[in-house]
Amino acid sequence: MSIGAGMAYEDWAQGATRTPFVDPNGNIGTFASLFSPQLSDCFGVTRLVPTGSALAGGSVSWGDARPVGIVSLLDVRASGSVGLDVFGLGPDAGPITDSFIYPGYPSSDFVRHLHFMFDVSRSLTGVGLSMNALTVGSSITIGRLWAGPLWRVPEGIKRAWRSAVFDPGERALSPGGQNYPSDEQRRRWVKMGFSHVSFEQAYGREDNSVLDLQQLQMRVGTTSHVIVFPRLQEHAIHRVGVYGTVTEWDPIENVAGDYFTSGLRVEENL
Amino acid sequence: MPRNWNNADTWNSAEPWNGTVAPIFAGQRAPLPRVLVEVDAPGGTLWFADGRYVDVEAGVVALARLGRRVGFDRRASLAYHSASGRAVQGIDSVELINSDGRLDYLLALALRNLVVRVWIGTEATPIEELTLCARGIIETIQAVGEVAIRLVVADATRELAVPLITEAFPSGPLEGQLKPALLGIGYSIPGVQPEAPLLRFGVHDGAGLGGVLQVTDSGAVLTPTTQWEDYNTDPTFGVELNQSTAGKILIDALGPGDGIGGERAQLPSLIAHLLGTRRGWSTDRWDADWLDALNVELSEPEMGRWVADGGAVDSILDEIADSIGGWWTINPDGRFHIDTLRLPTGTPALVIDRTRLGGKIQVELDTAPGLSDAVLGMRNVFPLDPGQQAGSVRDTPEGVLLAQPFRARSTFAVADTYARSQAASSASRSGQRFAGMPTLLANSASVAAEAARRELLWPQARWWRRVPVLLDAVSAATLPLGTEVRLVHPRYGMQAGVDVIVMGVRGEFGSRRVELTCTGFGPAPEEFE
Repeated sequence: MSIGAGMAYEDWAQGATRTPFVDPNGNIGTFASLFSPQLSDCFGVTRLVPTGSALAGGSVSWGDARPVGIVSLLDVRASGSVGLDVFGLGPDAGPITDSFIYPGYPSSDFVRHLHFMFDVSRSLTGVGLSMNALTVGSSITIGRLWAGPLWRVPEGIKRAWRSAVFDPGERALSPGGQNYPSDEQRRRWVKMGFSHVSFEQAYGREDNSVLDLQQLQMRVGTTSHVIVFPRLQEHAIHRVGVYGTVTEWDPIENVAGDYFTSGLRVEENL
Repeated sequence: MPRNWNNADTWNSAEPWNGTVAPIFAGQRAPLPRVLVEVDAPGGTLWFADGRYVDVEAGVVALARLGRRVGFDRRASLAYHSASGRAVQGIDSVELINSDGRLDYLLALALRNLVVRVWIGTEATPIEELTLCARGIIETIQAVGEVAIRLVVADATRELAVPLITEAFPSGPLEGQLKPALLGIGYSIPGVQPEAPLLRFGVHDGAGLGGVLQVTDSGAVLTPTTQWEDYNTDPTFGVELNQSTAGKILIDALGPGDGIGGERAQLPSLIAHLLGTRRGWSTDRWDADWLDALNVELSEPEMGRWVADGGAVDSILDEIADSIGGWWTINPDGRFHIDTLRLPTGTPALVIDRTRLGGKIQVELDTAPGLSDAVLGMRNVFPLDPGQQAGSVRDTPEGVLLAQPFRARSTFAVADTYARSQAASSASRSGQRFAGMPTLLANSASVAAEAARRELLWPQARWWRRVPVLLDAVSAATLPLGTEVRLVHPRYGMQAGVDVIVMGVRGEFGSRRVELTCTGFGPAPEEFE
C-alpha cells in the first residue's frame, strides 16, 4: 500500500458549543480566539497551574456524533515545558492508543502544529473534545483548535506534489550595494496533482459511497480553510502538512482512456 | 467517561524530539519585526498588529489585522514658508482587514477623538519594551467595501484645537459675549466695558492678572491711583477710571503666569498657562526644563497676545512658534514640544552617504517667501489714527508709537537670490492684516534679538534636499525633527558633505526606507567647478 495523502476539509470545532474551564491564573486572549481561523488570534494560558490541580483549557461540543479523522492544535507555542492533554468526548468508548504523537519541527521558523491523526482502519466518531494544559511555571498559546474528518486521496491513482517557501520580505539596495533586508514571516505552499482518476473518484458513485473530487472542490472552494497532507505518514504529517487555503483548483479534466486529472495549490495561512 | 485521545508523552520544547534524539536544525532567526497599533477604546485597549503578536505575561493578544502598512508623515512647517509654526506628526489611516466581519462591532464604539498609538518591536518584544513611534487622534471610522475597517487618524495636535476662551459675560451690556483673555504682555489693549456706564475696563477673563502697566486716554498717559486704579473683580479684571474719559482708553497690561514681571511673558510661562491653566493638562505633559533652556537660548523673548475673538489654543501656539521661527508639536508620548530652527553645529547625528542612500536625491531652492522683506515686529493691533488722539500727544514719542501698526520693527537683508520671491511673498500674504512676518514679540529688545538670530539662518540661499534613506525600522520611524545629518553625495556641491537639519520624515512604519526633507545652505557657485 502506498503512503497516502489527505486533506482535512471541515472543522467541527468551529461553531461548536464552547465551555472554558475556570483558570485561576489568567487566560491570554479569549477562549473564542481558539476557534478563529486567524492563528494570530490565539488563546493561551499563562503560568500554568501545578499538575493535578485545577485545569486550564476548555471543551467544545458539536452535539451529535460525527466522524473525526484528525484533531489538530495549530500554531502551538510554549515558553517552556508544558503538558497538554486532548480528550475525545463519546460516544466511542476506550482510549485511542494509536494516535500519532509528534512535536513537529524544532525550528521556530516553522509555525508548529500538533496533529493527532487516527488510523484509517478505525472509524471514529465523537461529539466533542476537551483540552487540558497541565504543567508548572510555563505558558502556552494555541492558534486554533481543529477537529474534523479527513479526506484521503484515493488509492491507485497517479499523484505528484511539490512544495516551496514563499518569502514576502523585501530588500533594499543602496547605490553602494549594501543590502538592507526587511524580514517577514515566510510561508509555504504545496501543489498537489492527481491523474488517472476514475469517474467515480472524480464525480462519485450512485450509492454515494465515495467523497469525490467535485464535492470536495465545491465544499472547499478557494476561501475555506484546509489542512493538506501530501504524505500521510508518522512525522511527515508535521513536516509537509500545511494549514492554508486552496488558491487554485485545477479543473477536473477528462483525458484519454476515460481518466480524469485535477490538482490544487494550497498556500499557508498564519 | 470521556474517551481518552491522550497525548501520552507530554510535549517538551527543551527536548523537542521526545528526548530521544538530539535535534539538528537550522536554528532560529531573530524575531520578526512587528508594527502594533494601540487604540484607547472605551472598555479596554485594543491592539492590532501586522503579524502574530502575543505578550503572555501582559496577557495581550494583538489581532493581526493591519491590512497594509501604516504610513507616517512628520514635518515641521515654519513661519518662513507657511506662517504656521507647527509640526504635524501625521499617521495615515489605519486599515484593518474585516472581510469576515469580526470587527464590525468597532463601528458601534464611540472611537472618535480617542488616542491611537503606533509601536514598533518584534514578535518577541514584551509590551513594555516596544518603541513608541507615533500618536494620533481618531477622526472617524469607516467600513470600506465590506472588507476593511478604516480608522481615519488626525494629528495629535488636534487635542489642542479647543477654544481658548470659554467664559461669557453673564449680564450687562456685553451679556453673552466672550470675555477677552490676555497672554503675556499686551500693549494698547482697548479694554472691554462690561458694566457700562461704569468706567471699568476689562482685559482678562479671570483673576491673576500680572498687573496693569499703563493706561492712556486718547494717547495721553493717565496717572496711576489718582486717575485709574486696578479693578480686579469679576467680571472685569482690568482697571477702573477715577475720571471721565476723552474717548479712547488703551491699556498696557501683563497677563497671568509664573515668574516676576516680564517672565510672565516668556515662553515657559506662556506654555504653562496655555496647557495647564487653559487646557487643564498636568505638568508632566510638557518639559519645563526644556522650555527654560530654549527660553535662555532665544535671549528670553517676551511675547504677548490679547485674545478677544475666541481663538483656539493651537492657533495661539502656532503664533508663539512663528514668533521664535520654530514649530510645536505633540510628541508620541503625548508631551507638548516646541523647538526652533538652528544652524548645524558640525556634529551630525547621522552621516548619509552611498551606503545609506535609498535612491535619487532631489534638491530645490528654499524660496522662503516672507523673508525677502522680513518685518519682525511687535504688532500694535489697535493703532490710533490722528482723530483718535488728543492734539497735545500726537507728536510725542508715545503718540507716534500708538499711531504705528508696529511698535518696533527690525528688518534684515537676505541674499539677492530672494529677489524674485519678494513678489510671491507679497501676493501670498496680501490677505493678511500686516505684511511681513508678524510675531507676538512684545518689545524691541526681543525683536532685535530674534532678527539677529534669523539673519544668521539666512545669510545666503538655502536649499531643500529630499533624500531617500535606508535606516533600521525603529530609527526611521522615530528620527526627531530638527536632527542634524550630514549628506555626502557626488553632485550638487555635496562632495565634501554638507550638514543639514531634518525638517520632514516620511515613510511607513516597519519599513527601512524613509524620505527625509532637510534644510541647509546651498553651495557657493565655485563649489561646482
